[in-house]
Amino acid sequence: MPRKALGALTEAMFYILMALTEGEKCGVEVTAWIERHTSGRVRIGPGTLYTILGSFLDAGLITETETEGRRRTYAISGEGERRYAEELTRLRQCVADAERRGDACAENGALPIFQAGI
Amino acid sequence: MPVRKTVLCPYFRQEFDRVEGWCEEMERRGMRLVQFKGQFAVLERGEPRETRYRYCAVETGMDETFERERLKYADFGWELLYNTTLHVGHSGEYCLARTADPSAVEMYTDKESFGALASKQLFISAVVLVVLIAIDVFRFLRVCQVGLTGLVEYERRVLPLLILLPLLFCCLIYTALCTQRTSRRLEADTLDREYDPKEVRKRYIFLACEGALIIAAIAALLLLWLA
Repeated sequence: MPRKALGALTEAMFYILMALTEGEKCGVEVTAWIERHTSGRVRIGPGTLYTILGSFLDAGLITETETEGRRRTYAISGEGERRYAEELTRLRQCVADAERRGDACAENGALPIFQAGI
Repeated sequence: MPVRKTVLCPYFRQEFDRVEGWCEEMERRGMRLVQFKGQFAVLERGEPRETRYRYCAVETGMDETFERERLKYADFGWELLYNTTLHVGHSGEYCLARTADPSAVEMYTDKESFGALASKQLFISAVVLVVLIAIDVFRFLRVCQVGLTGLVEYERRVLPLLILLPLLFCCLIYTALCTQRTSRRLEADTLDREYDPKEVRKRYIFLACEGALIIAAIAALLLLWLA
């Protein structure tokens, strides 16, 4: 079956992949992990979670490792790890660009972004 | 045995936010939703409480039984309601869920996963509805064009149908417009769950008129058939 291509990763998508890079997890464990590691800043609702997990399964970024009983466990696939690394690089570049702009602002006498509170 | 009551839901099921808001208001009045039967809702008397109702996209492509789906959402403090499923578009299946737990995380914490999906499917179903209506109207007009004089002159019983059918088409167009409006609200993330008694009253009048029209159209068709 042809796999559905996935567009850009949203914040929720990125964190779900991040949670799964640390090992297999079921839905509740994924959201608990994200909440813990973002100090409660990112909370993912069940509707959002299962929609994203469904699209990840369609795109082959994750696989179901256990479907026995009521719990379904998910694991990240090779493709998922590649996509996660790609997104991480992109985000690092974004931060680096913003920081460079901050340095340039400081040289010109303007407030760098971290001081301006942006 | 809890007291059950069947009431007319003033909103079309495709109007997600309005239906959610109506169910929440019923809960505040101590009437809990049990299930939907077409345009009717079966409510059960209970303690008034603040409850959140939300539609959620149920996984249909994974051969999940309702029970497994229910347990999955129960882990998050949401109760998936049986017989509230609504088919929208090609593969969209939406089910109502509720929670009385204020600490339960909102069903959708982003608008990408629900809004875009639901909006697209609602829009498609509204377009399909409009196209079907347009085809029917065209056929109806053709019939009128070809034999209107004869029909009116010799078959006076056809007249009520000529009046009733366009009115029914208007009702269908209104339903399609409501569906499309919900789709726009979903896309713009401007869902409105506010309960407005005036609007509800207007909707009841509209639905009563629509029901009367349907009955009248069926009666007219029966009369024609008998004649």
